[in-house]
Amino acid sequence: MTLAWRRLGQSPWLFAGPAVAAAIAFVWLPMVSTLALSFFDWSLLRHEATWRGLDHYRGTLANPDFHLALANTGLYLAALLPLQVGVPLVLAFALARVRAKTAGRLYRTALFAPSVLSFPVAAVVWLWLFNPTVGFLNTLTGSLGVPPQRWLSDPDLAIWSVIAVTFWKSFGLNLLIFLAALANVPADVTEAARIDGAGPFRQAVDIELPLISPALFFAVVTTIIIVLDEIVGAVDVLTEGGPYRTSSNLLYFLYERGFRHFQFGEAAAVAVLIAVLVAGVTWAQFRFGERHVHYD
Amino acid sequence: MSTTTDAVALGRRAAPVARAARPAARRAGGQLVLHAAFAVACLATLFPLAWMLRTAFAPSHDVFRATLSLWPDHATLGNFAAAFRLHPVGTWFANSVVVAGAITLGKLALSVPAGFAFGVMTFRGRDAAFVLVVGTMTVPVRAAASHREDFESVELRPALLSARSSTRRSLWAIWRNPQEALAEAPTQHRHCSSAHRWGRIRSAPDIPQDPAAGSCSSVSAFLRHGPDHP
Repeated sequence: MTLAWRRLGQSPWLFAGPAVAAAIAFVWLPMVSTLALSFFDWSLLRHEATWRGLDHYRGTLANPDFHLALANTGLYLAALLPLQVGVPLVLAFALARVRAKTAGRLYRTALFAPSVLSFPVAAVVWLWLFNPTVGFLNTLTGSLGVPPQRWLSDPDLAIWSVIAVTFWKSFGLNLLIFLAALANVPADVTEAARIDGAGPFRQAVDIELPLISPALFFAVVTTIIIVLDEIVGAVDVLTEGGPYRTSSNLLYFLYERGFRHFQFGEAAAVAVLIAVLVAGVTWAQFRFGERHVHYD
Repeated sequence: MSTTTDAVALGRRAAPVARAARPAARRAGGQLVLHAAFAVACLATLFPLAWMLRTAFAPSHDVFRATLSLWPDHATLGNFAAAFRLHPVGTWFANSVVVAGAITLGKLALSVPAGFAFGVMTFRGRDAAFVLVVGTMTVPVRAAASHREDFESVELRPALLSARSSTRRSLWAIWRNPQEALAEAPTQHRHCSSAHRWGRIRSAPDIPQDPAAGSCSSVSAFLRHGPDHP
């Protein structure tokens, strides 16, 4: 008995088990039932399912709205990944070189401030700036002689407005990750580089950047997940995917199918397609991206 | 940023004599550029938040006026009073605290021991278990929640979600027709009128009738008012 208890106390599963169980219960089992649901029509009212086979997949893959959502998701990623990783990276290197400690802390706090908001709240904040008639942005451009813009209802502009809000709301997190990684770069390494004649730029590119590459990799992976998943909150509040679905993305398409049109079977098929896509992108990153990462 | 880079590049070309000659001055200049750049960046980052405060304290006739001034002429606390009077803000806040607290504690309770096991211990099935746990990050929350059971349990999910829907609906309503929205606001919670309207507009055919909610459906009531709706 005591031996068994002691063995249990040393068992790794005592530590890892609860997390694995929660992951299975709350994510993987629902995913399996989502997969099952995607082959049915499900009526909330009658609580009964009708077998549809692959109909929802065929319908979704042929749906032009889905194509638009897919293309928009690509645009969101193409625009936000460089912004969300590149700008915080440059800011972190610069911030690490600010000598005044209090000022540095102040800058860090100010730059991180929007990141504590949730996406919907951040979007509401920006609604007031984007308003075409009384918003600050158009008042500002008007005073500069630029004609007023329809930030959220111009089909060419709406997606960029959402991108701007997303960037504003979430670059701080990556900044913090990079700052933490930079703080962990051993001082003797950078000092050795400096004595050897490396300027701040050389130090950053040749010494510090490789040393923080695990953080960089982590930031890329999580940023892609944020862009694919969480910005739906901003899309929903700012534009509801419009105008003409020009700012919609895959998750918003899913949300519309499921929670606006209550087509749960179809939404489940979309969910499966998204999950496959995200899993594929993440796998590709680990397969091809991680080889550039230096772990100590 | 490019200024710093240029200065550095110049410094490298001019080294080592110049660097040895005036390192302090160059360094001070670089710091000055850094401070100027960060001051601009911080002000730009904080501006929307400042504007949010301005809007919050502005009376409605001031809100719907194009202006560049950072503070309303007649600042008021009336908006806060109205928010608390018209919406269960206290409940939303309490819900958010409970949900955020429970999620934080739950995450720590699960992930700290798991991190210890994955990081420090070696055991059979470790890699598979690791993928199972970390892989959950790649599953969009809403993808997992599109199943019906999860949709129902959505009512137990973050109050934030409900606050968000309500905020958005109210905000959009005010946006599109301030008079109408403000006039109907006090009745929304009791009679669910706009929930009905939304339900009709969005033509949701399959909403079950919840007797407890009177004539309005629990789904649209939830979407409109949050889980605390009767």
